[in-house]
Amino acid sequence: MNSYTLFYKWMFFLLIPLFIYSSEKDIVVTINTKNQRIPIEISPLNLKKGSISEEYLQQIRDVFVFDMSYSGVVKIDPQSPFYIFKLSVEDNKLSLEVTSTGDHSEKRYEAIELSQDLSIDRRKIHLLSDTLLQDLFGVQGIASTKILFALKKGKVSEIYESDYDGHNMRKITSENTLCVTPKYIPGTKNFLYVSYRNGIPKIYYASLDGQQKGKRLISLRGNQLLPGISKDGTKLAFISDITGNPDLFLIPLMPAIGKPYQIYASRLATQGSPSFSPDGQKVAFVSDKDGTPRVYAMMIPKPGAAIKGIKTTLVSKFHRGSTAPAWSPDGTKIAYSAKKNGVRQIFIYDLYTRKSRQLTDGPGHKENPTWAKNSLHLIYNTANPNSNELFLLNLNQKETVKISQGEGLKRYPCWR
Amino acid sequence: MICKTFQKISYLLLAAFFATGCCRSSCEVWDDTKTCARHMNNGLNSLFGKQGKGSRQVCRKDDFYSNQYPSYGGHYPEYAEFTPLEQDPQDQYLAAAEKFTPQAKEAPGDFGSSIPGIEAFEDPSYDATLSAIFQPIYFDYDSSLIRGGENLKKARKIAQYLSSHPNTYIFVEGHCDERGPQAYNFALGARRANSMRTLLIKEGADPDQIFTISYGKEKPLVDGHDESAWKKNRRAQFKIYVR
Repeated sequence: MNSYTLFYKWMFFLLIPLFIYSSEKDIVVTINTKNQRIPIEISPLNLKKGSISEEYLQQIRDVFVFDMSYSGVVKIDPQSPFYIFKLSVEDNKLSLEVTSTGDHSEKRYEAIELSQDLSIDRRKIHLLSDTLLQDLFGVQGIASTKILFALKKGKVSEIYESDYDGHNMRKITSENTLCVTPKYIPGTKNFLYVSYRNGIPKIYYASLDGQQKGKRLISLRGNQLLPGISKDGTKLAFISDITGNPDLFLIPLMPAIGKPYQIYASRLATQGSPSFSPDGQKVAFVSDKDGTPRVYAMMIPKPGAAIKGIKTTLVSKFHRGSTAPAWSPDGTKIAYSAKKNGVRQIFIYDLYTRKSRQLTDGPGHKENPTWAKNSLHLIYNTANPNSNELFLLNLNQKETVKISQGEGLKRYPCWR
Repeated sequence: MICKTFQKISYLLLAAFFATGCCRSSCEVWDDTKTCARHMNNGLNSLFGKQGKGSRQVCRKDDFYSNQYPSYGGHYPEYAEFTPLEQDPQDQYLAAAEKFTPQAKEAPGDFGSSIPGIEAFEDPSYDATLSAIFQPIYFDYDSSLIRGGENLKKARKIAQYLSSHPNTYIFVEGHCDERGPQAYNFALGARRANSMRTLLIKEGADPDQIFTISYGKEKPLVDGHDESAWKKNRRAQFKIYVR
C-alpha cells in the first residue's frame, strides 16, 4: 500500500466524526416544568349574601383562575394542593381565605368592593392576585400590568393598550395611518411609536390618555424605525437611513433630548430592532452583515467612536433568520424569534450558560417577544398571513395562551 | 493505475460528502457558505491588520477629514444633525462596496420645507408616459441588490427623466413580501428604497429629488401566498410630485 493510498484512507476515517457532528443537530434543552409550580386548589366562589348573579360570580372567579393558572408560580391541582384558595362574596364584597394544607394555617385578605362592572372588577382581582403571589411566594406578579400593541384593520394600524390578559382593550391613537412598534417610556405616562402620518415613518411620543396627537421626537431626515428604549428611559435606540443605509442610532432622552449619534453601521448590511440591556450599557440588535439576519450584542460606543473599535458578539449562534431581540429586565436572557424547520419560533439565549432554549413549537410564525418585569413571562405575536394574535407564555410552563381578542392583526406587543 | 485513481477520487468525494453533512437544505448550505466566506474574509483581513470593513487605521488627520468620498463619512455640514461613527474614508471597501448617499437636504412635509408631504405625491399610473418610465423594480428574496439588465434599464430611464425634469420629486417606496419577519422587514424595505435611490443617483439623478420610505410588508401589491405574488411584492415603487 503506497503512501498516497494510506493518506486517503486516513482522511476518510478521520472525517467520519466530522460527518457525525457536522450534521445540523439542534440543541434541545428539556425543561422539567412538572415540579416548578406549587399546586393549589381554587374552590368554587361562595355567595354568602348579596344580589350578584351566579354568572357574574363565575366571571370574577375566572379572572382569578386565569391569573393563578398563568402566573408561572402555581398550578391548579385539586388532588394534592399545598394551598386552598376560598373566594366568597358577602354584601357585594369579595373575600379570599388561603389555607395551607401543610400546617393548616389560614390567611384572610381584605375584602374587595365589587362594582359589578367587570372591566373595573377585573383590575381589583388582578391586584389581589399580585398581592397574593407576593405574600405567599415572594414573587412579583404580572396580573396588574398592561401592554401596548399595534392593531391593524385593513390598511390602518393604530396603537392600543390592554391589561396583560388582553381585556380592557382601548384605542390610544387615532391617526388613520400606519402606527406601529409602540414602546412605553419608563417612569412616565407617555409612550413612543412610529407613525406614517406625514408619509415617511418617524418616531413620535404621546400621552397614554390619548388626549393629544403625538409629537415628533427626533428631527433627523429619512426613515426612523424600530425604536427601543432603555430601562431607565434615558436613552432611545432606533434605525435611521439618514446616511443612506439603515443603521443603528442612539439619542439621549434625559435630562434633555440630546443629539442623535450613530452607534453601529455596516455598509453591506441591514440593521434592525435594538434592545437595551437593563444597565443601558449594551444593546442587542439584528444585522444581516454575515449573510442571514442574526442577533448581535455590543457595548454602546461613545459618540463619534471609531467603527474599528466596535466589537459585536453573535447571540443567535444556532439559528438562522433571527430577529426581534428582547433583553430580559434582569439582564440574564435575550429572547428572540428564529427559524426552525421553516417556522419562526421564540427562543431565549441564556447569557450565563450561553445556551439557547426553544420556548414555542408548532405551526405558525411567532415574533416580537416582549418581557414582563419579572423576567419570567413573555408575550409575542403570531405572524401568519391573515392572523396575528398575542400569546402569553412563561418559562415555567410549556403551554401558551392566546390573550388577544376581536378582529384585526395584533402585533408588536410591548409590556410595561 | 486507473483503479487507484478512481479509489482516491472516491475517498475524496466521500470525505467532502461527510464533511458537509446531508441534513441541511441547499438554501441552508448556500447561506452557510456565504456566512463562512464573510468570516474567512474577516479572518484574512485581521491577519493583515484590518478588523472588518471600515476599520483601517487612520494614519493622518487628513485621512479622516478627506473629502475624497463626499457622500459618506468625514466632517460634513449635512451631518450637523447627528454624530456619525468615525470611518476611514480611505477604506478600500468604499471603492468596492455600494456607496450610499445621505438623504436629501429637504424633508417633504416638514416645517419649513418647500416640498409638500406625501399626500401631494401621486401614483404615476395616472399618466401613460410616467407609468411607462416609473415602473417598479423587483428584488430577490431577502436581498436589496438591484440585479438584471431590465431593472438597470428602468433605473436609467427614471434617472434620465429626473435629470431633465428638475421640478419633479419622487418617493421611492421599499416593500417586502409576506414571508420575512415583520420588524426586520421595515429595515429591509428601507435598504431596498435606499439601494434604488443610490442607483438613480449613480445614473445621474439629483439626490435632492429623491426621498425614501420603507413599508416593510405592510402594503402588498398582490394578495397571494405563492412565488408569483411574492415576487411582485418584493419591489421598489414610486410616487411623483411635480412642482
